[in-house]
Amino acid sequence: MPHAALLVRFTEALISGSDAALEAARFEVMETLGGGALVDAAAVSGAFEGYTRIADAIGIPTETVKIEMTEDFRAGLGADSFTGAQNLGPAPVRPGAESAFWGPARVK
Amino acid sequence: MNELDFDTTAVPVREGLADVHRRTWRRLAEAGTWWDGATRVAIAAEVRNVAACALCDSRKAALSPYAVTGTHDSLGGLPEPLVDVIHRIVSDPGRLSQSWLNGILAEGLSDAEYVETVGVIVSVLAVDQCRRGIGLGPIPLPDPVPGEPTRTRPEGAKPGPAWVPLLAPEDVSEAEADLYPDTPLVSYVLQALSLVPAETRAYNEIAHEQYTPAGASWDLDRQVREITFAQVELIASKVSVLNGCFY
Repeated sequence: MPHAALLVRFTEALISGSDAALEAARFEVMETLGGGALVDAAAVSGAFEGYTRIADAIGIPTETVKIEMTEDFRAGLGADSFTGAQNLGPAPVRPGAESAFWGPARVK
Repeated sequence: MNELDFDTTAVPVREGLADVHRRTWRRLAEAGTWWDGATRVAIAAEVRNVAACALCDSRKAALSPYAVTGTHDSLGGLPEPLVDVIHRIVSDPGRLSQSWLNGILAEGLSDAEYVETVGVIVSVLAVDQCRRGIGLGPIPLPDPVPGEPTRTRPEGAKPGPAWVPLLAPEDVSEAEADLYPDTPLVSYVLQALSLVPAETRAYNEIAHEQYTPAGASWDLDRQVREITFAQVELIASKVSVLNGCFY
C-alpha cells in the first residue's frame, strides 16, 4: 500500500505521540501526499477515536464474519488479547434477507 | 456561540467537513434527548479535562483498572458516576466491562442518559482529534442554549446483543425510518447509539465527512477524497489497535 508507513506514523503521533512527533509527521504527510490527504487522514483518525469508543462503551458484539475475514493478521496486531475479543455475535442480517455481504464475505 | 474557525490552517479544509463540525458544535449547545444544553456542554468540558486526571493515568498504567481506587480530577460540575463514565470512556475504552456499566446504572444514571453521554463524548473527540491532526487548536466550547430535552425513547428498542437496548432495523417506527441504510446487513456499530436516535444521526453525519460517504463500496483501490479506501482502513485499524478496540 503506498505510503502505509507514513500514514501509520502520523496516526500514532496523533493518537498517542508528543506534539513534536505529530508536527513532524504532519509536515511529512503534507510534503508527500498534500494538504487534502492530511485533512482526510486526520478526519479518519478522529472518526475512529469515536467509533472505537462507541463499540466498547455500548458493548456491541463483533460480528463473527469479521473474525473469519481477519484471521490472517489479527494475531499480529495483538488484538486477540483485547477485552472485546470475548464479545462475539452473529452478523445482524435483516429478517427475510436471503444473504448479505460484508466486504468480500457472504453472510447467511 | 463560538464559530469554528478554519481560516488559520495552512491547508484547505473542505466545506463539507467544516460544515459538519459547525453543526456538531451547534448541537452540543442545544438540549438533546435526555440532557439539556448546559449538561451537554459540561460533558464536553469534562472530556477535555480527562488528560489532566491523575486517577485515569494510574488506572491506565495498572494491570487492571479496577485495582486502582480514588477520585477523578474533575471540573466539578457533574455527578461522580457521570464523571466516571466520561473519564473511563475517554482514557481507557478498551477495558470497559458490562459489570462496570451495570454499577453505573445502579447509581441512578439511566441507560438512555448513558447512551447520550457516549454520543457527546465521541462527537467532541472526533472533532477535536481531526482538528489537532490538521494542526488546529481546539474550538472553545459553545455557550449552552436554553431548552428542554425531548425525552423520547424509541418504542422498538429492546435488550439484545449489547450492554444497552438497541433499536433493530426491523423494529424502527416511522419516526426512525431514516436511521439505517436500506441494506440486508446493518452492522452493530451503526445500531450502537440507537437508544437515542438523535445521537445515531449526529454521528452518521460526522462519519459521512470524516470516514466514507454513506453507501460507498468496499473497493480497496477506490479513492475516498484524497486517499484510497485501503489507506482509510489502515488508519482506522491503527486507531483501533491503539485504543485496544477489538471490534
